[in-house]
Amino acid sequence: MTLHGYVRRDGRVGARNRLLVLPSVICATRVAAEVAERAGGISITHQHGCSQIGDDGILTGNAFEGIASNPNVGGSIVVSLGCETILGSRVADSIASNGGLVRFVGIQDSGGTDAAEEAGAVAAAELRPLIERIPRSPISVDELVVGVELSRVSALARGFVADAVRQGATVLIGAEALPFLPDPPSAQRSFAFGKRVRRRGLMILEDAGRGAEQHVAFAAAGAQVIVAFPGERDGAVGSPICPVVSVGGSALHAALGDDFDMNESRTVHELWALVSEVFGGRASRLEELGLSAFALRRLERTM
Amino acid sequence: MKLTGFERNDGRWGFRNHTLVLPLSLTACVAAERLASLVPNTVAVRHDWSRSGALIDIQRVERTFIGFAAHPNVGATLAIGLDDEDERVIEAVRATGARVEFDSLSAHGGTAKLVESAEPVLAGLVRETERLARKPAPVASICLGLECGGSDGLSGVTANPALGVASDLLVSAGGTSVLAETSELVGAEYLLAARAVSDAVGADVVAMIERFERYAASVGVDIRGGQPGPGNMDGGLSTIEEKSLGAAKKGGSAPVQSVLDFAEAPSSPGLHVMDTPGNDIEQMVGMVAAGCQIVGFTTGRGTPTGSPIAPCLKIATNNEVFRRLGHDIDLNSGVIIDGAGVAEVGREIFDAIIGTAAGELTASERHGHREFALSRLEPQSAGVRA
Repeated sequence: MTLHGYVRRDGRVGARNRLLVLPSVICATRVAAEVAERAGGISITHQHGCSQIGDDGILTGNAFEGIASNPNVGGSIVVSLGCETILGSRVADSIASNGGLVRFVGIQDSGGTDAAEEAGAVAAAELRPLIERIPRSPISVDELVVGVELSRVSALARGFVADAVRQGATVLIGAEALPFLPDPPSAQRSFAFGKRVRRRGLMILEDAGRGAEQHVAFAAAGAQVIVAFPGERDGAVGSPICPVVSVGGSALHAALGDDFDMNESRTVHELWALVSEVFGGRASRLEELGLSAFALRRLERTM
Repeated sequence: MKLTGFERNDGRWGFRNHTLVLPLSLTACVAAERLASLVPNTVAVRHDWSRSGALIDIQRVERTFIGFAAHPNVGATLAIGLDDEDERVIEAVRATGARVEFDSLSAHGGTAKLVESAEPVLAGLVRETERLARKPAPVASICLGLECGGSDGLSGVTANPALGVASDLLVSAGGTSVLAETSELVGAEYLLAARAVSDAVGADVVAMIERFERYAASVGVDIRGGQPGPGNMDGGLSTIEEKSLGAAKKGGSAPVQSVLDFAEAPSSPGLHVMDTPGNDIEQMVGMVAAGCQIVGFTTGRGTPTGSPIAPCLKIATNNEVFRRLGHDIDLNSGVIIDGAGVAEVGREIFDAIIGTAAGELTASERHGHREFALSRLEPQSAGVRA
């Protein structure tokens, strides 16, 4: 099956071509949501960006820059309040220095909520045509980067990881899942949260966090698609950046069956086929339902 | 202006009459938002709680959920869980006499069917909520949250002392006030302890600050050096002590009745100190979950935020920010620099608190600001399951 994706300026390939409206702090989430809604973009309602200290603040800043630099994002607007710890202007500068298409809107700079929403609409109108002119092109499977949340490990999960690596895709998993892969494919390399993955094969993400927190880590690393095997007491959770294909297995998952793409009795071949289709534009079940959520790993208390 | 409100079953008074959609886990947040967008006159919150963490955080989060669902500004709550286990939290809400319904995603096979099934239930709750009318309410029923965010060099000179005057007026009328933001009381602990109603309460104030400083040091941060934030410094604040001495002025001069845990309801009228993060939203959520029906929020840099269920009255510390961000700010205390008296502006804030409680919308309500966050004490703990 030939894959088609959006080829970015740095050569990476996106499975989606999204306009991201990223608030750099919780205080800017309302404006960001309004801008995204009017412009047909996606925004993220999160709780971060202020009163964060040390490594925790660094992790949040890296996550913001990383997800906005994900190849599924065609362009982004950073919405800042102006007095937050993770300064939005710096986040926007980092995205730009990574080669990303980005605009900056400051709420205090603009003169408040209404003025910032206007500024956001202007920025979105500038970005939209630049984003939309990028077509899907045929790409090689080597360009595929799949994050696999292994909160529950099954024969299907193990088989999918091995098969995806064998086909040439790059597969990201959290370090804590490694012991559950009894015969892990070779050439594992580890990388840190917020760092873009630049090598191929099976990549181990150190300290990826739990459950849906891993989705942010995978998105920041550059995954285009996420395959989730949620924990037995967790539901299916989508991501604003990456399509998430969710595979159920527990009794709770069966009771939430309509939110899952498939259950773990299916074959590796069927899962791989679905992931390929979702890469090419088919909506995953969570995308169809509009179920996207955001949970970012926290290292410390907020001050 | 005459104060009016909504009298609740537990004897408290509400000054808004919201119908709340409360998701009890991350997975239920989109369903809650969708329900709130389908049924007019409802409000949902969004958060990132995945039902696991340190025991102390599970208790903190559940206290927050219960405080919101049973809040006097809320006429009825529809809580959405992932499965039936989430209903345990709701039992505690029912025990308060508050009106609450519970449903779960797993009872319906997933999000879409849950939304379909819960929509008429939510519409029914709105009809029930709206049956209750305002009636004259005692000023003593007000519980006021005191907050500052985006402070500048004038915060401690204009808006905070004026809000302190308003707090004193409320306390002398038999009402309740909550001063919080532990990180922004560092350096002011002995001034507050000296006003405590007993030596034991004074010792609690000092212990609260010491606990916070020990934590900050344990993660390698000298808080007296790490604060104020970049926006504060641009606004002319040089040290955390300077920021704190100004921040504490929001508490006026009333005696300190007790030190409250995060989201813990005050057990008596008067001024209380609550142990919360300085983070604007986490602090506001803690005070509101404790039962504050209205928040007085001073700002030097200008911040537009509000609460999903409590009106948040914004007070500018300087003329410039009021001029530039006037649509997001309700009152200007910058006039104190031009010669207006602190007492006079404090009285104006008090009157605005009464007017807001009686139904006038604040700037953040008009703009639909309803930020919500859950703070954690031990965020890295895999801990136990709720």
